[in-house]
Amino acid sequence: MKWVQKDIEMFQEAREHIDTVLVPMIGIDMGTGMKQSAQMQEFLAILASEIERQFKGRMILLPPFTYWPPSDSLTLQHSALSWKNSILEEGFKHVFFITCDSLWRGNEGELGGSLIWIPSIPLEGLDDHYKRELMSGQVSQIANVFAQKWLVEK
Amino acid sequence: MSKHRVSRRQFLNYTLTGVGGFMAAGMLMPMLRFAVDPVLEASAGGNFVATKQKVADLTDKPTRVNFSFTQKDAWYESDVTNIAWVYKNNDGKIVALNPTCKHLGCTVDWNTNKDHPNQFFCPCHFGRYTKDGTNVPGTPPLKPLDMYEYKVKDGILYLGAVVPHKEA
Repeated sequence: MKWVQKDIEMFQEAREHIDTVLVPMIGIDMGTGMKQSAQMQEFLAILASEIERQFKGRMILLPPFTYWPPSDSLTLQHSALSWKNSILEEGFKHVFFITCDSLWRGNEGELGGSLIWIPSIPLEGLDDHYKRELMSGQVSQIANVFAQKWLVEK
Repeated sequence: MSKHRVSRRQFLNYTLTGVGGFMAAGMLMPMLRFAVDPVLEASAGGNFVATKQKVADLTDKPTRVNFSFTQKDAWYESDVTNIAWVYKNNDGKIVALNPTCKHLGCTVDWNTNKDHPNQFFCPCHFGRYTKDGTNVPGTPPLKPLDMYEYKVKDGILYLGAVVPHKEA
């Protein structure tokens, strides 16, 4: 479900069925990496909305966790962790963070298994049909991660 | 040329009738158009979108067909891609199913669960549907999958509005 009124109304009616939250994480860089930062954002937004479409009935897609490149990644880890804890406190069972930012690679800290890192693929100049195929490939890979987590719980 | 002379009165009569006629027509035509409009609308018959699927290539095994169109929602215009699972049933009739789970709206997939082959499977709450879209009792969905209206033109499959499941 998306973070929009209509979907949230549906969520409130069927709360017991929705136990997962997906948070995209996006770094903003207005310096030399500006273009790349925008491209990552674009890729991640499409990816997240495709995942949401696939798992609409079990997952809420939050607005992205957005940050400037920090001087130390520890602070960032902490604030991401506090998102996670707040979400868990609301009674959700699974929180997933999804990002393309290499900052998080090997830097998961306590986020551990809830972080999905995926390299962004420039979609610029790709044929529409090929784009869709590429995206659905990525989605089905990530779907496996969810399916496994859900299965463990079952 | 005939020598028939047109009097001033006659001339004015002709001109006034002519001009008046045009004016009356100008007023009546739009009204007539509005009155007839619903009839014309119905004949257009919904929006069908061409897919890349050739009807001849369809088998009795559900095939995933993507089709996109532009959707305008207030100020937000977007390209929407919808998925249909299309196959030919035993009578050779085309069945186009909408894979939106009737439970909470996830997207179901064909034949992805090893324990229940040849069924539509929803990964979220393990809902299942048989090939014709009927929900399997005992799984969360309470209604069968919706269908798309379809038509065939030049051997290509066109898909239209989503309609509730009906017996094929």
